[in-house]
Amino acid sequence: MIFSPEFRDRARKFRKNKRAFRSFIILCILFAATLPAELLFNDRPIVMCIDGAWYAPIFKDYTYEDLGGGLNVPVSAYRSTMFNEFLAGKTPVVQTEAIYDAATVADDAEPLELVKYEQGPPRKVWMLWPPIPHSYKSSPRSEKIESQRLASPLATTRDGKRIPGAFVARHLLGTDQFGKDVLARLVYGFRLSLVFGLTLAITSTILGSIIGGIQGYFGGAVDLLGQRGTEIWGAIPQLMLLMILSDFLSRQADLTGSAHLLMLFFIMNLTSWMGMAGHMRAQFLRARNLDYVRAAKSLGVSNPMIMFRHILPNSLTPIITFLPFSISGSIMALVGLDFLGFGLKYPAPSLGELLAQGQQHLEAWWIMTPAFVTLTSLMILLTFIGDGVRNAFDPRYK
Amino acid sequence: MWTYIVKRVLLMIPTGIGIITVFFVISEMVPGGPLDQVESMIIEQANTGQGGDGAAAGGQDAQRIKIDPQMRMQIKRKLGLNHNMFHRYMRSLVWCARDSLISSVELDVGQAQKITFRSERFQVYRDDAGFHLFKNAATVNGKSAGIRFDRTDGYFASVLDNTVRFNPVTGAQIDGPASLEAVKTELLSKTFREADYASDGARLTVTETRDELYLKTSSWQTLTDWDNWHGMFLLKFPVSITQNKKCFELIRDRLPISMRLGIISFFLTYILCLLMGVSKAARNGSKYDSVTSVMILIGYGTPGFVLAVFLIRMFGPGSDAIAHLIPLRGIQSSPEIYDQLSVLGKLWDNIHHLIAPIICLTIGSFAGLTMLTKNSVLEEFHQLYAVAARARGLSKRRVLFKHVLRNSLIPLVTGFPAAFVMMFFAGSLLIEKIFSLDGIGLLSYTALVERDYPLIMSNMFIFTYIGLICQLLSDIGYVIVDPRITFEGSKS
Repeated sequence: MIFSPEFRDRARKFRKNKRAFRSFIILCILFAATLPAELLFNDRPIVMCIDGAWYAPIFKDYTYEDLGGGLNVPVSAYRSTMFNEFLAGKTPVVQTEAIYDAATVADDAEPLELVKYEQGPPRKVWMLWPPIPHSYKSSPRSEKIESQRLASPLATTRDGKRIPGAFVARHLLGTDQFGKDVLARLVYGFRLSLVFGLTLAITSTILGSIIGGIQGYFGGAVDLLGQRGTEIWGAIPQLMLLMILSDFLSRQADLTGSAHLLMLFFIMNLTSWMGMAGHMRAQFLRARNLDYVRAAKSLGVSNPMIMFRHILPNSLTPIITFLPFSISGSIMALVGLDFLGFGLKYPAPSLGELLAQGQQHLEAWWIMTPAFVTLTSLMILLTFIGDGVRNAFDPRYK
Repeated sequence: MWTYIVKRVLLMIPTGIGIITVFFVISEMVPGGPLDQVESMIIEQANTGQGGDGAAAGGQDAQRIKIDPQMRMQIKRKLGLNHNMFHRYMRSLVWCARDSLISSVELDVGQAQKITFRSERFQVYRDDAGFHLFKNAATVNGKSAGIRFDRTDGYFASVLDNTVRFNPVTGAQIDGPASLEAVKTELLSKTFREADYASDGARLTVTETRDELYLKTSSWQTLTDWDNWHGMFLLKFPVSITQNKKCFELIRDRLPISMRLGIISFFLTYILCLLMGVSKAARNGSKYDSVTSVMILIGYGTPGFVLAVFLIRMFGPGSDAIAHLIPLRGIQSSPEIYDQLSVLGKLWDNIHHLIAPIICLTIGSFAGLTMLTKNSVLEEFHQLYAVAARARGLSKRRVLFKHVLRNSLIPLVTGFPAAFVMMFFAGSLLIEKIFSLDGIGLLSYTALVERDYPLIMSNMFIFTYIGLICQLLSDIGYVIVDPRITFEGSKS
């Protein structure tokens, strides 16, 4: 059906809907622009060349030893004094005698330096930096953190003193309460939200189609049981359920980073399949008595085959129609959880968390406004697309 | 119709059991369980109560403060943890059982406790031999005397100004004026295993296995006493861990605020959608139609709670706001201000506090209903009777209002209760949190943050049932509005 003339006709109808099609294009461009976020917003060079050897710090974590000398210590920041001194030719060398001496030397004696720098010729360096040298998790150096928390991008005057804007330090939208770059978090968060929403929409569609399909196809007792189960599960307020499960699971297992994200993904799948299941159940219930299904049955085609090869391709309308709304629903669920503090853990880029910070710090317009604009426009774009898709694909909808 | 309603009501039961089971499992699996939680809370309170340097020394204090076994037992009793798991589970569904009054753990040797049973008062006293039950009265030298019990010193009986210390079991005087010799108490039992006191068939008894004293009554009396029934299905909700109140009371106190929000936004949505839908249908295809469509879609896309944060930022009382139009929090001004306002002032104060939350609650809900109204009006317009009416020369307006409108409202009415429920809790947890409106949503949120599982469970239970009942109402509404519809034999 995907390549059937009917489908092409509907796709053409969608393209003719200017509002929906333009929204679709804009969203695609935004998504494509944020996809290589690592190359645009990062606190390490994309590629660099030191003394003729090439490195790509974005993709790999290097130690000083890897870069040609010194200790086997990972390079934590590519803007630190330590790294700059390394580039200037200093090579740190561990004084082994200092370690041995430590026990025997008298207390009042001058302690030996543990690490001594050997000055060599400056290294030949070429580095390609991303346009914005901040990633979503790069925090300012500890001595600077006070001045860099909640820094406005524009110059402000506080207590009669003029404070230069964070714009100069290439924090185009200022910094958040931990001194992290707002724009970087926004871009990474946008990408994460979209990928998350898309993936969740797809998996919940698959889950819903399987559950609804089985219910509708077999009918009878299977259907009744499934319906009652869905009713029980669906009657529980979803947001509260998600909050409870998220809270419960993240305490049961101490999850961090992507494991935590995966956990959120799983629990959201537990609730998000229900809408799709209802539609697919209705489709399969209708189709099971149609002639082509009966014909397939009498030919001895197996049940899974009938469901997958015969009914499913004829039941794609609800899937396509609801996908955009499913995506926006998934994104909003994640944003809501993040906003309430039950979602992603802090260093992870999240639009909901940014919004929550915006509410906490009402004076920081550079946090609130971009988060609001991003979220609202993302949702409105998805709504426009969804409306267009529905107009094009749903014959009942004029 | 009636069979359908009965069927639906019966189907609500497994739903409730399902919810309770899910939460029972979760709250049982919480590390340490509610007991540890309450204990850590008490310790925390004790620490913060110590003032200034409490935070710094908190770590050490937390270890020093210990909860004595008696207190622990009382907490356990309050949370219902003195029962085994099966009983706990059944008690959250439906169960009929007497609550025990006292356990041996709670009552150490040499201690006593008062019991009230059928408005008579008793004392339970424990010595090395076991428990002793006697009436809460004594006679000293033939005169009735009051009894006082002191944790460290034991029993005192006093007549006029004279006080005597005595052993309640033997009646022997320990000290006190020699003139007060013969202390008599009405001892009802000597050991704690046997049937002890009976009045109209009710007996105070101690079970052997659990070391718990409870009232043993005839089964009929047990069954008829409402206090013996437990379980959320009977609307008997557990006690909140954090707030030391029955969950039902907590929810009941907050319900009016949520309902006010819900009802106002519900009617607002319906009225606006109806007006907009009909006017859009009347001017189908015009510029007005397309502009409002876009507006509705934008409203549908805007997430309410995101807008809420934005509104507070831009129009709230903050120093950088564009205009100070809405208050930061609450449903009313603070009582000192509110009480001084005139009636009109109070009304305005309420409206003023509700404007922003209601905008945020309703913004997303116009799309579906307006389009539904518009489509259904348009559909009815193409029906034969409407065409005929037009052909008879009636004006479009007259056909619309006299003929078409009533019929096209059917799909709207059916959605009525369902929409009402949606309003009740769809976005209100977030909105109530952002605007600090002390409704059910905020209650659920704080319960979740503080991990008050009994409260969460009660909340979910009530929410779910409100939802189910409203769904049923919407189905009934269907039939009342359109008698052609029946649910008999309908399978889908």
